[in-house]
Amino acid sequence: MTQKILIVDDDPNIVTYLEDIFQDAGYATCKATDGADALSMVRQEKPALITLDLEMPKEWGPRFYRELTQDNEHKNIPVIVISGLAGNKYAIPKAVASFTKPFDREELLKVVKEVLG
Amino acid sequence: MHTFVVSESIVIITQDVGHGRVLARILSEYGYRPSTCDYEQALDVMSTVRPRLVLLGLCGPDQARILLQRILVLYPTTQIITLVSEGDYVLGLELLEDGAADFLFKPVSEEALRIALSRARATVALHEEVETLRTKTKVLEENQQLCRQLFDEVPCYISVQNRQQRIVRANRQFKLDFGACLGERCYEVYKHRTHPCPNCPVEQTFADGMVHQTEEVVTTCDGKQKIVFTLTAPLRDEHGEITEVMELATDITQIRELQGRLTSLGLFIGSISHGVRGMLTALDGGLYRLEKGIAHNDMDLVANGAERVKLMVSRIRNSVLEMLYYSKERDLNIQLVDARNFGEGVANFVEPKASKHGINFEKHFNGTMDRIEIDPEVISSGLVNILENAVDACIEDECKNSHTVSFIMEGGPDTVTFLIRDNGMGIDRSAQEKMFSLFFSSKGSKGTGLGLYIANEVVKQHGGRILVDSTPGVGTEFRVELPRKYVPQPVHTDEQDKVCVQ
Repeated sequence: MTQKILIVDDDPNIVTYLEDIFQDAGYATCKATDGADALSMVRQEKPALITLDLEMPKEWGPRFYRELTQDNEHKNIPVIVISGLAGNKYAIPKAVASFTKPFDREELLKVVKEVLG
Repeated sequence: MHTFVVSESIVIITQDVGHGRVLARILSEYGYRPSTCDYEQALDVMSTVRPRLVLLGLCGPDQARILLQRILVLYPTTQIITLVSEGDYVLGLELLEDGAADFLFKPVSEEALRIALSRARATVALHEEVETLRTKTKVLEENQQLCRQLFDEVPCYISVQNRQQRIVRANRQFKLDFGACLGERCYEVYKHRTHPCPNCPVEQTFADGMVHQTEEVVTTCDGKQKIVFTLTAPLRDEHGEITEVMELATDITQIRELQGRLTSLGLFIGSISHGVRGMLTALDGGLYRLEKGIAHNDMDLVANGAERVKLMVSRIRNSVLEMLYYSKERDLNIQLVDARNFGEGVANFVEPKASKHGINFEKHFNGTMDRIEIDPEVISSGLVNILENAVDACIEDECKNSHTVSFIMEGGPDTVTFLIRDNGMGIDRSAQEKMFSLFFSSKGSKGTGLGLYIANEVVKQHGGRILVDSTPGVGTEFRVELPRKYVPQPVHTDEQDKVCVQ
C-alpha cells in the first residue's frame, strides 16, 4: 500500500512543491494549512509521516505537535520539521529531522525513505 | 476739637513773618511739623522738607502765582492751600485754576484752616492710593504678559481641558497647528476621532490627580502627522478640587524617525527572513516543476513551473527592493516612461492575485496618458503594495457578496493620478493615522509594516503625495498624485510631509 505523507504548511506554493516531490517519489500526500486542520487530517487520513512548518497563522507547529503526542493512537507518527525559522531543531526536539527553508530536496527525500523504510 | 496729626510736615510760605509765626504755632498744636519761610527761601525749604502740604500766604499776587507754578512743576502732587485777601474770589479762583488745592480768606479762622488741611490730606492720601494701584496694575500686567508669552512661546503644544474634554485654553503653537479649537473636544481636534481615545491621560489625571504620560500620533489641521509625547497635570481651584487638566505635548517625530532608521534594519531583516526563506523554497518548487516539465517534455508543466518561478521572483524582488530602500537612501533612477504601459504593468502584477480570490479587477485609463518622469521600479513597487493591500482588504472582508478592486489612472497636464479603490473592509481612523508610520501593520505576522511607509517615502521623493479616504465596512480609496515632470526634492524636511488623511 502507498504510504501517505501529511504536509502541514500555510504557504500553498510550498505545499505544491512538497506534493510534487513526494508524489514523484511514489508517496501519497494530503495537506493542512494550520495546526488545527492538521490534527483532524491526522485522524482522518492516518498518515505514515508528517512534515510540519512551525510558524502558521492559526495554530503554531509546536502546539500541534504537543496535541499530537497526547493522542495515543497517533503519537508515534514521525514528524519532520520544515520551517523558515533558524534553530528550529530546538522547537520540537523529538522530531525525526529538521530542515530549514530553503531545504535540500535530496536530503529530505533521503530522510523520508529512511523513516518510512 | 482738633484732629491730632502725627508728624505731617507742612511748609508755610509767607512774606509776613508775624503771620507765619502765628500759623506755625496753631499748626504745631494740631501735631503738624511746620517750617516757615519767605518766598525767596521757599524752593530751598521745599527741597529739604519735601512736604505734602504747603500754606502759601499772598502778598504780591503775580509773585505768588509764579512761585505756585514753580512748586507744582517741581512737586506736582503737593497740595497748596493759598491765603488770599478777604473777598478776593477772583484771585482765589485763578489760583485754583493754576493748581492750588484750595484758597482761604485772610484772616484765617482756625476752623477753616483745619477743614482745608484735612481735605488736602485726604486728597494726598487718595493720590497716593491711586499711585500704588497704578504701580500694582502695571506689575500685574507685566506678569500677565510674561505668563502669556511663556505659555504661547513654549515650543510645545499646551492645552487646558475641562471634565467634558473640551479645550478651554490653548497656546499659540497649538492653535497654529490644530486651528481655532477653543470649546472643541480634544480628541476631535487632535486625533480627528468621534469618540474619546482609550487610556486618555487627561481622564486619568482627573481621576487620580497624578501626572500621566502617553505617546500619540496626532494630525495637524493641514494634514501633517506628528508623533507627540504627552504629559498631563491637574489644575486645582482654591478648594483643591481638580477643575481642569493641562496637557503638554512635545513633538518627537524627528527623534522617532531617527530611532526608526537606526533600529529598523536589524528588525526588518528579522521580520522578513521567514518570508524570504518561504519564497526561496517556493522558488525551488517552481524550478522543480520547470525541470520536470522539460525532462518529460510536458509543456503544461513547464508553463506552470515558469509561472511559479515568475511569481516568486517578483515577490523576492519586492522584498529585496524594500530592504534596499530601508537600509540606505538610494538615489532615484528617473526615466521618461510611457504612462499607459507603466499602468498596465502595475495592474498586470496584481490582477492574478485578485482573480485567484474571486475579486473583480477593473482598470481604467482616463485623460491624456502620454509620458511621465518617474523611477518606474520604486513607483511600481509602491503602487503594487497599495493594490495588494486593496486585494487583502477584500479577502479579509466577509460582509459583502462581491468585491471589486479598481485601478484608475487619470492623466492631467501636469499631474498623473492613480486611484486605487476597493470595497473591502475599510480602515478605521486610528489605523489611518498610523498607516504610513514605520512598522505599523494591521496584518499581524503577514505584514512588515514597511510597504506603505516606503510607498509614501518614494512618492514624496517624487514630489507627489498620497491621500487616503476610507470608511470602515465600506471601502478605501488611495489617491497617488505624481507630477508628470520630475523635480528633485530637497532633503527631507517637515514641510515635505505631504501625507494627508481626509
